[in-house]
Amino acid sequence: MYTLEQNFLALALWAYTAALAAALVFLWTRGPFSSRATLVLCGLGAGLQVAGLVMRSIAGGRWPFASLFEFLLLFALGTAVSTLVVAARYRLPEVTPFLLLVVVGLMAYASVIARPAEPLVPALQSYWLQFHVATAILAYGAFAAACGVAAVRLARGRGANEKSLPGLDRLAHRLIAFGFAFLTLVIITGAVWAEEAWGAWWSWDPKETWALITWLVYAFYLHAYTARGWRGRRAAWLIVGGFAVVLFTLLGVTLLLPGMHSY
Amino acid sequence: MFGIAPRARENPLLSVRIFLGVIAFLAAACTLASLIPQREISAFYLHHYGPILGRLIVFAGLDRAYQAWWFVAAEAWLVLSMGACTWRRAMMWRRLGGAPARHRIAQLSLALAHLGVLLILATLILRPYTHRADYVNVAEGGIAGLARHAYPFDLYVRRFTVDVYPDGTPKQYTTLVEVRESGKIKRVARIAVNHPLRHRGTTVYQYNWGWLVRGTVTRAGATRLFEIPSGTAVDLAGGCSLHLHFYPDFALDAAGAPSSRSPLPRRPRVFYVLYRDGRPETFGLAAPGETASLPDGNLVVQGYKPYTGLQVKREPTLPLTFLGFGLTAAGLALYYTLRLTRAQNSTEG
Repeated sequence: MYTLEQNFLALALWAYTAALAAALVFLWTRGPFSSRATLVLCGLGAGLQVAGLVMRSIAGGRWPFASLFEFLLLFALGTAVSTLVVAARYRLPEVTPFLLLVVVGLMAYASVIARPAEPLVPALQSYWLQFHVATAILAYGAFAAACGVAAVRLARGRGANEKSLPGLDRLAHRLIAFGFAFLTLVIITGAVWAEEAWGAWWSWDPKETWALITWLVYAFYLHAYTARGWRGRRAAWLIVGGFAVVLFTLLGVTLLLPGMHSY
Repeated sequence: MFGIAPRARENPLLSVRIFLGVIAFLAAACTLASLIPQREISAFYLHHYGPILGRLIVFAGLDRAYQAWWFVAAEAWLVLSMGACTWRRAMMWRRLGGAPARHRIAQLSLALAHLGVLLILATLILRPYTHRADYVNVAEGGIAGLARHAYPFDLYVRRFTVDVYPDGTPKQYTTLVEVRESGKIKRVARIAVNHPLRHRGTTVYQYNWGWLVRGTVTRAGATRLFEIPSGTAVDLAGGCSLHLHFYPDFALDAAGAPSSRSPLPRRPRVFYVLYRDGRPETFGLAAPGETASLPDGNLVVQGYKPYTGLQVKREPTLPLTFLGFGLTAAGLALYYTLRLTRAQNSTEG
């Protein structure tokens, strides 16, 4: 079972890498074939990854929500799905190189720290685990998609495509608003669970603190967008910076500032 | 229409610019506080950051940032600002009497979400003053002694167990207790990780556990009985101390250091180090029932038993915090359901 899981996840990484290559070709040629190939390969990668995660769930006897390795896989899957949504539904294929770079990077790092599914330690034996991690995947996936849209916004800049720019601002805002709601739920579910497990709903643990910093950054963006009219390159840079904070919260805190969230 | 209320020039609490400045300040403060070790002694900062930066950190309160007056003041400003904003939204909601229902519901949902965040933040500020936690270590057959800490009940530990998976890793830590009031058993309860005990406004958590080591140490003809937690020391005369560490399933790890393969007492050993004037003089390994020689005498490890570490907590503001969680979640759910419905209607229309 473990070997099957490894095989599916390895194939998923290859499919994402091929999708990234197709996306880079699209950036160069702007052709419909490379655009379609990107989405097909990305979808294939997502399907293979789901199969790998199902194998892991069967092998471990639980949902794959318990370690950094599993969370990286889920984050990559969430970003891959948001890539498909943004590129296909909103007809924004230019976003694919940025987002697939994130997906491939997450999957590559996950492959380095891969380990078999282990049973849950006592602190993780709670139904809050599912809610907390699932809301985090939705939030982070949306922030990744918004970062991709912001990157496209910055790449287009001023010029012939100025008419499309307000649409990009609005799309990015909607993605951030969606992600912010789920990030709020991540913090709430985490706090309720921490109260049950550790007797303290907030203890300024590094992971908690950086989740709050992420929340403050996006709260700043939403209020600046709505009440102060922040649009354009300034807002786009803030969105990109926000996603850098997301990545630090996920990886930087785990590697550099360990605390009670170290699993 | 669904956005923040218009800027109010007269009231700084309603100024979005000031609000943005405060949350940017808090984000920066939290970043610094997460990178600078908190609650260490002053000498630590002088040693690690140098005399100038170290003194600056202590002077600015960055060593206790989350309790610093400027941090609490920023939090308090947010509470007041969100309170003013929520009030303004509530007034707008009333004035929208003739407006379409979705406009009124949108204002209400945002007001609920802001009120929820306000409650969470307010209880976070008050927490250090209202929250009380005590930690007790109790062996099987022992009483927690909560009456000494002015709690209205006490706990008698019937049994403490560590369940393990087949590979030896811990599965659950469980304490079976009798809750006693005025010497009478009110109920028998199980405390485990993620399963605290709640009784009369107090919550008891499975916080920690360890081993008590019992034995005697003989020096200069005098024998002293001890029962101490593993990892602590027996103070002896002449500037000596005997440090003991219990390993329930003793083995050497890959680096040759003492470790335990599992939490179960399959191969119990006590690793001891005798210090004289702060310097290690001798060390060794002893099994229960064995006599280990020391320079002036000997050590006899008689036995060991587990103890459970319980956290006993009272937090009167917790219901308000949870109310804040509920209001925030409800407000967000209502707001986004409304937006989704509006998007679907505009698509179908």
